[in-house]
Amino acid sequence: MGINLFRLLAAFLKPVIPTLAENAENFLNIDSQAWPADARPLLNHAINNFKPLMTRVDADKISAIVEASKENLEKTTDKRSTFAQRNEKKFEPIADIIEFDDFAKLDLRIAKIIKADQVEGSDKLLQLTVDIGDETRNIFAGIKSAYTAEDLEGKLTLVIANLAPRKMRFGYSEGMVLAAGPGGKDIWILSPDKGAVAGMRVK
Amino acid sequence: MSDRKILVTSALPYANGPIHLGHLVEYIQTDIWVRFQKQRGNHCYFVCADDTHGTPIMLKADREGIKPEQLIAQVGKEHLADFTEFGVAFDNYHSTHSEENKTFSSLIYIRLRDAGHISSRTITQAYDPVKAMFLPDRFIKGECPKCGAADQYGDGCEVCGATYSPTELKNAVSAISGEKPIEKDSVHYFFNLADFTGMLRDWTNAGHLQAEVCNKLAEWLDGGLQQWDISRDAPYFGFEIPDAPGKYFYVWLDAPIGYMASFKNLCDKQGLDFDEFWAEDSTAELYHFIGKDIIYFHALFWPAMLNGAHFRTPSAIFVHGFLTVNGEKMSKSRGTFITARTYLEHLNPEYLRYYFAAKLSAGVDDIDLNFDDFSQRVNSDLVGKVVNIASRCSGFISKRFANVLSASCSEPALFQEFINANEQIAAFYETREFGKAMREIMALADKANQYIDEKKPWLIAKQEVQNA
Repeated sequence: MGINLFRLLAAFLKPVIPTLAENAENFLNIDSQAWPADARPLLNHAINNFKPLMTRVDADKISAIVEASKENLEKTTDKRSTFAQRNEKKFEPIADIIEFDDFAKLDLRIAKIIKADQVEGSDKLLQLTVDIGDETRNIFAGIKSAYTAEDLEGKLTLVIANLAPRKMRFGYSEGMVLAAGPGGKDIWILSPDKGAVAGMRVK
Repeated sequence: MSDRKILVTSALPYANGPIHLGHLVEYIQTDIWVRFQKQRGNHCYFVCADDTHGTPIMLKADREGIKPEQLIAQVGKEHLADFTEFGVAFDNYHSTHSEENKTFSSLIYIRLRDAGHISSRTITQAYDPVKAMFLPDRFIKGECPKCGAADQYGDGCEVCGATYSPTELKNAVSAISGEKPIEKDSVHYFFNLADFTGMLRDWTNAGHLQAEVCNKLAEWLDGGLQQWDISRDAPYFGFEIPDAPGKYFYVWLDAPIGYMASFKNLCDKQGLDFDEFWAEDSTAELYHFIGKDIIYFHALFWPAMLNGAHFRTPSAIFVHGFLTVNGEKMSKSRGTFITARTYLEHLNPEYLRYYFAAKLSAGVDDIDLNFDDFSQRVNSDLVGKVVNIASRCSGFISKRFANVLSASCSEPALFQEFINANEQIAAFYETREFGKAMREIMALADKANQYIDEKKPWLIAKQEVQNA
């Protein structure tokens, strides 16, 4: 009798606690319960062994939730992106191991930024004219959010000189300026120590 | 049992942050109602989507150095995972950044335009000269013109509560670049909401809304309806307006259309008839569950847009209140701003589903999550009353009867009393009086435990075995 009453309670509660109701159906060895408007008692019916259907709320867990929510706050106020938070590390993971030969393929050069121009129609790019020793290159760099043209002109920096030229909406980019940082205002281009001159290979 | 055709929606969560317990009040409320309808045998469909457009999403993606499409794909996945683990079982979860939504947004716009409900004029707005974009009010900061408080948004002061326009703000700067905004002209498109004043007056009084909501709308209608600015200038993450290059639909125009788009997507997957639910003469039921902060969009703009574009209007809009925790607004510093994920890492989601059900009514009042009450109610009702019945009875049935139930019903009257209660409980679920439904069910659980206390069925069982 008690089991038959329990069965009706599980049916009434099914919209609210569907997992518990389903586990109850497994225990009762019955099909998924419709709304019990005309249910009949289960008689001479074999049920399964009872397994605990729900444990009591552990008060420590509630405190843990509150503590964890305070920690979330600390994480968000330190302005790390949600993507960085997810893997609990400050920076992206180190890339796969490469062989020396792979590295040697990169031709990195010291470059002098001769000119930096606005790119009409782009709010991200600056058009840089750089001297890499024996030639000058045209490079579009997505650093407008962090640098003004005045910041850059005359500066020595680091570029990849043998990257295949890439056609962009505003023209060809013949290389890439190397920079650190997540983006937006937080972009830092690299500068060599005093003494390096445009054209030197970085090895 | 009936065979109603019902389409149900929850409001679309915005794709710039995680789901928290405040959101879950609505999704759990809607899900309970939908599951009840399905259990009753009705053809009920529950659709939702991520709300993905607008300046905040564009800027957040920019800050993270990814495309808005990548951001919304990632967040959409997280939202759906949270909902699924809370047992919120959508029939379809889509995105407002979808082909279906683009098609319907354009269609509704064109129908409204052709019927003369769209106008355009030049307005002056704050503009960030560095980022080369117009600034929404929330992206302008400065000193409150009334009380002088620093670091206030362009639309209102959080210190003194004054509301004003961004141009009144003192020493205003763009929250994006820190630059002083300039004023710039731009052509904007407007939906002439006032064309629908009569229609809305009738509609809002025709039983589609809760009494409190009706009163609020009567105030707005009496105050006169303003034109609604539905366009935004590039750069903007959204849909370009068909006949206006460089102009985009304001996110709130295409968000509710996302309900249709998600359902269209479901229709295409399952071969359902879209028009049966959305055509002007549809007899299917359509319900939107929303929070009280977005009544204006759902009970004024949305029915007017649908009516003007020759679609059916909602059967009803069900508005709920906000969630407070321990009697106060959710607070990050107190640790009561709890995300769905944090909860799931520690506690069974069905505790919260039951607790919300026990607190919910059909009204728009706020509901409070009190942690002591939460533990006490779940422990006493679900564990102590309901599950306890099964655990008390299962022992002797297993030991004495090899898990086979009795061949006769010892208390047919008591069983029938439980069956008879189904109508009252169903009526409470149907009218979203979930708290009353839970009290009714727990009263039955008390009766079942009382019966077990009195009859001590394990003694009867012993007797029967001895007599056999």
